Amino acid sequence: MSLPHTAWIHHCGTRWLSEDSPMVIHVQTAEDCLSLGDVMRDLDAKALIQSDFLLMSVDCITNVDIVPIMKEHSARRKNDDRGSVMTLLYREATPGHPMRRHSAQVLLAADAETGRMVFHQRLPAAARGRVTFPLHIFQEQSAVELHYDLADTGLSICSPSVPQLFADNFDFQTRDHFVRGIIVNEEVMGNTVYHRRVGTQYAAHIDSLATLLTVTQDVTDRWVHPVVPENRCPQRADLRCSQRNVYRHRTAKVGSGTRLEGCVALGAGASVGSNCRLLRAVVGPGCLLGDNVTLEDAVLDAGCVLADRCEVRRSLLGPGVQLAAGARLHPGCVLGAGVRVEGAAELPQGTLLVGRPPEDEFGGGSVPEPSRLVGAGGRGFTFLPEEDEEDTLSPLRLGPAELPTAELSDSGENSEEETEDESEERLDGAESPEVVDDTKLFYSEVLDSLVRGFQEKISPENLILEVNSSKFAYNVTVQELNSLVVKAILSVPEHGSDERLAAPAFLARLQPVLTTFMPLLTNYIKSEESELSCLRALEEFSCDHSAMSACLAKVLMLLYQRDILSETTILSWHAESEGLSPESVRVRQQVQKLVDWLQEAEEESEDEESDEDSS
Amino acid sequence: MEELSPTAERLVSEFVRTTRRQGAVPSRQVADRTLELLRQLVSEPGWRQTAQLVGQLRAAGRQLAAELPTQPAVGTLVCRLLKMAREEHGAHDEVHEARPHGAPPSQVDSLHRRLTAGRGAAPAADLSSELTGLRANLLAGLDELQTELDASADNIAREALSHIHADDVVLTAGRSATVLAFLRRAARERAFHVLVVEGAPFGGGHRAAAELAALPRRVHVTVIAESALFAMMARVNKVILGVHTVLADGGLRAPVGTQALALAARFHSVPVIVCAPSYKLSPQFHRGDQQEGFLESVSPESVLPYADGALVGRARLTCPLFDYVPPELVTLFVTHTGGTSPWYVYRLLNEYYDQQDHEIVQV
Amino acid sequence: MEPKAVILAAGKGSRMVDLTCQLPKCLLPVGGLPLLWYPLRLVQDAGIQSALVVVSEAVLRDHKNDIAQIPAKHGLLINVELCAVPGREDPGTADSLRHLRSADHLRATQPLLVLSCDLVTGCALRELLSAHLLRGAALTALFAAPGDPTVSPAAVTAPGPKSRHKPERDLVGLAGPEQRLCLLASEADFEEEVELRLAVLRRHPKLLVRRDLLDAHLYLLAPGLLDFVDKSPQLSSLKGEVVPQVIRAQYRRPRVQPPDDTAPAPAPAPAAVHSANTYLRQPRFAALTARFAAPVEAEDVGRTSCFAVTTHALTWRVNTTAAYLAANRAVTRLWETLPGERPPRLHPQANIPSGKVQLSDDSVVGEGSSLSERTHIQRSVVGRHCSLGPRVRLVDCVLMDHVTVHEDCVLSNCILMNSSTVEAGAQLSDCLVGVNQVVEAGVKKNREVVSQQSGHMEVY
Repeated sequence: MSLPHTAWIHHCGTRWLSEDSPMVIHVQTAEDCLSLGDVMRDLDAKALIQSDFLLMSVDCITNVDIVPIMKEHSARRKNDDRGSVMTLLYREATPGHPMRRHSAQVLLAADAETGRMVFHQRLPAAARGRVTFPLHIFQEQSAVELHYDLADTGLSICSPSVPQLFADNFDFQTRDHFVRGIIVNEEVMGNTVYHRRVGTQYAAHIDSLATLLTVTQDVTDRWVHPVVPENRCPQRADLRCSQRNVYRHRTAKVGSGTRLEGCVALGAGASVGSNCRLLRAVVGPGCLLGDNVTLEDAVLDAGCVLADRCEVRRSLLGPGVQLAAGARLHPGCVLGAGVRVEGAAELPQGTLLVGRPPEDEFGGGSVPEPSRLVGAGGRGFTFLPEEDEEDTLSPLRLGPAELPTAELSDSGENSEEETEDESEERLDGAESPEVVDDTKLFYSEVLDSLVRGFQEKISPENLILEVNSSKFAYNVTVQELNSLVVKAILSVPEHGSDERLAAPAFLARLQPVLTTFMPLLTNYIKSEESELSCLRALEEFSCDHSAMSACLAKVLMLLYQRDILSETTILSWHAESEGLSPESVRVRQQVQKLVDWLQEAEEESEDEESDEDSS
Repeated sequence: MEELSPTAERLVSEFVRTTRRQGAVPSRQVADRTLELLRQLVSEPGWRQTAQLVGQLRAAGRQLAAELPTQPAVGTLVCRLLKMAREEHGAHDEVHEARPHGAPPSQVDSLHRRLTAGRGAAPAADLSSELTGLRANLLAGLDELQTELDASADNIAREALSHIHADDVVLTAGRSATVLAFLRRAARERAFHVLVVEGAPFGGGHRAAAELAALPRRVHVTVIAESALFAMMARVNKVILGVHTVLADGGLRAPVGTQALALAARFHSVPVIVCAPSYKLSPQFHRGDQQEGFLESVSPESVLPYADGALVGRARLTCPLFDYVPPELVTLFVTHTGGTSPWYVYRLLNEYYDQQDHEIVQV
Repeated sequence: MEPKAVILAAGKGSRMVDLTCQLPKCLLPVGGLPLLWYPLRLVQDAGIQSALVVVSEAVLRDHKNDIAQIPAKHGLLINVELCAVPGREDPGTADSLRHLRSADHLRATQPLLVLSCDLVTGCALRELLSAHLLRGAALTALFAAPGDPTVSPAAVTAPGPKSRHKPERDLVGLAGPEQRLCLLASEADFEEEVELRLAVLRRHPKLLVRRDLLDAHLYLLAPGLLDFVDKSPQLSSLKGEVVPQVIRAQYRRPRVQPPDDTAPAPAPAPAAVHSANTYLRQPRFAALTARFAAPVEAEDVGRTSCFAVTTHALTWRVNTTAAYLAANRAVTRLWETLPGERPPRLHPQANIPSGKVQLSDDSVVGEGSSLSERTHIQRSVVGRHCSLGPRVRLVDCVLMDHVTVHEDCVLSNCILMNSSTVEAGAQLSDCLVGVNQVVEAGVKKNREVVSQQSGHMEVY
């Protein structure tokens, strides 16, 4: 609770602070608290809190029945989840709702069954584009609900351990920091945060001028029943509510021809001149309005004096503000207590004026000049809002200078979608991940194993085991395995370097590789089918690789001598002549000599066999 | 203008606060709590003379009626108590003071007295004496009131058989405990049909229909929407309604939708029977310049959910709780003493309340 | 108008190679019935009278008659048309559709029901079809909610060595009571983050993302989508590429149709991509049907919409060995939920000596099989013309046709493929015996695959 407001609290809260109030109120003041985090740390130091408590800022307007929600929180903390530290309350409101249109948007993800929050993010009011969620939140729960339909109410039920958590982490300055920190460290610290919707009850949190005007209108529209103006008036009978939600105090005077068009509240002793037009306006006690005054979405605090022909739109006037005749305030103006505007001044959009000159923090002697906007003889100094974007404890955080209008611009959204159309598609097309073939993955794994095996002289049995496990991992068929293993073996000599070797160099490197991996080949290439796939693999490799095709004959010879390939298979492979590409034909020509030699050998062996048979 | 003592002030503000916080509760509960408050006020040792008590009660009644204008029980029970106090005092005067026998007690103001009195207004009753035993008598009187309240539903239900006959088609709206007791009593002996208007947007009719459907005897229950009211009214034999407040002229402050129902009944010449316990009978008149606030609008959430961003703020939404039904649309009132025509409600008022006290309820 | 049913059976079955290396996936027996019977029955039940089955060329060459005679042999009335997709490579599902379109098997004006041949489910499709047509949806997809955990493939140990293959999960985003489909992606597509367009969240502020749904790979496509697939040659997989594009098209404003309806937006270069919205035309009576369908928001009129239907019936995608076993194990439970005539659990022409055999209630015995005395069969499926010797114990096994098991064998969680033999006294658990293979007498095998190439599985 910071300083200038303490006295003000005591003044406003007399009813609650008196003896027969149903509540016991302690007012704590702290000199150097600048944020919620500081307050919490202070409370922890003073050890004032022993049980679950409701944390709310002074700018919350609500009619929520908090007792069942607190009981729910306590029951959950006792029975289901010991680590639950906070339950945040939210109000359902569709995107674009007046209550949240001008505030930072809330995006959260929660476990669909329990309501435990697994992700929380704040987005700027006019957010566009994309949002990213971490993948693990979807993997840890079977169903996650994404919420973009919630407005922050500023209310939360906290466990007694919350001040201590703030004290442990000096980074936590605001409630958002706290929530994010708890969610991120959930596994480590074991604390959880839950969210709960307040259902049909009303709860709102004022964080800018636009929200103040929205909530004011909601209260006059009786959304917050039973928190309605006539119930809050000391003498209920004095404030009458008539149709179209016009509240008139018994002593308020309204001139002839004035139209109270709807959602208007006139306080005690207010006096409105003739031919005025009031729409969604709150006129405080003791205000004096002249003739032909127009008020639209305006809030006038006690004792304001508006001369004739003033126009005030979407603005807030503090106590005792005086406007001379013909003054016009554009949307978004806030005039502090005691400001006096002389002459037919026109205050542009978003003017912020205070009645007393702002104190110079550094004790300089200069007195600032009154703002030019208030005209000669007026009184008002420009207010410079604080630079930091942190969530301060100030009850009224002023919105940006350019205040969005009341109308929702639908066209903006649609045009965004239009222009995204074509380019989006292209981007998506490029981004769509390639379906990486399992066989390619298998091939690269096998190649890696072989290269490593060759360099580190790993025993062939282990290599076989590695290749087998890769086979099961990627569900590769046996024939594919054979051909890919052969190709991998052939790729080992040139692995790691981009240059293509000439035939002799290639052969020189290939031979030791083949010798090392001979057991592998022996293991895999046993049946005729596998031999054929081996040959096809060699052929395909040679088609792309000129050096290989030159040495193909020698390789085949080597394999034949080691009994890996039989001559019948080689011959039948060579005899395939249909559907061959030109490269394949060329490859076959290169091994023609070998094939001829084999054929002779076969004929000889056949003769021998027949001789043996016959003999 | 009477003032409240500090303790009384505290009691009354506590009562107002608790009642406001509770929101929508059956008026029977508020009546019970009002009797409790009155017991406390009477038992408070601060007053000695009857005039003091009467002054306190009048101030309390005025404040309660002003702060809780939609709860009839607070004003009417105070007036009942005031009448009791004045009667006690009058009876005591009769015994202890010299007054000719046979002369009517001085409180009662009748036409005869006015005409036969001489110049000068009749002397107001002098309440300044101290009465021993007044406190005890008033507390006993309050107990009797409590008994009367408890038995009112049964007493009203005693009339049921004379109004509901076999195979009747009865129409009722929303949920009223008195009407349900009435129908339950009739269902013990007779079989009939009940049409229940659903009472949107609060849904009282559905709850009433569920309770009626659980009755053991063969009562056929149908729930209809408000929009089907006029069409169904042609087949209805009688309409039986509960009410929030009976006004002094015989008009009603009834749950929203009742005026349309009464108009439809009038169009089809269907009798409208209103069951009202005594504490709902208010000496209040509904004045033309008091239109505002009579209907008590609540949050429009049940009309259109606040979450619907497209319409909130752009459409004017009202959700009133009550309707005013003029006395000519009502055929019969059934109270715990039997049936009354709306034109004779003033007689009941005179029986229950003293005329001087009528103004404290007038908001 | 009646949708055209297309059953995709051209895949290689790469996740159950041990089973599919000898038999095409669509002919693998589940409960004694070929796998293709189940999608055919599903389509027939929905009231569709003919189905187009897409197979690879090799399968068409070798097994054409087997496939074509499935309806006749197993009591279905549906008419089966077979056609082949060329090429040796594993064709993508969208590629198959494109080929069918170009070969004129499919017309562009019919809604298309595309399902995979490995879908075994007790779901009834009529509701899905009516919902799709009433809403004028562009795409309706079928998902299965997780049911009894004991019948899911996760509860089954696959025979053979331990596989590193983890089951893939899908993230399904559903919104609203009418179950709009807002997101469909495989978990493996994301590395660390899931990206979502804010336009989706603005339209559906409350979105439920479920990870426990099984994508049945059954899609009902609106007529224009076939043209979209045809004109987008870079899309090769239905589930992986076409469906996400259609889902994304929901949140794009459709282009205003040019007055000349016949030509879609011109594609200057082959690589140009276009939105699915270009090809989807609103049915003529969209406004009328919208009134009778589920409540349609004002923003949705005139826009593409995709829906999901979740079924709670028993469902399996038989594309892994574990799923194959799980389906067989609970196949009798599935049959009980099917309407119409059910396949016989114990075939009348099976030779079962009464009284001396212990058969559990969820076992199936096929035509011509003969059991001997003191055989004990529990939760197993025995195919046609098998012969089991005395004192054989089968628990959780699947025997295909012509299998011989000699006496005193104990088999647990095994698959014995066509014409395999297990000699006397063998004890196999978690094994798979390939076609024509023989397991020697008295051996004990655990977690092995006995097949032609099994020699190289052993380290010498």
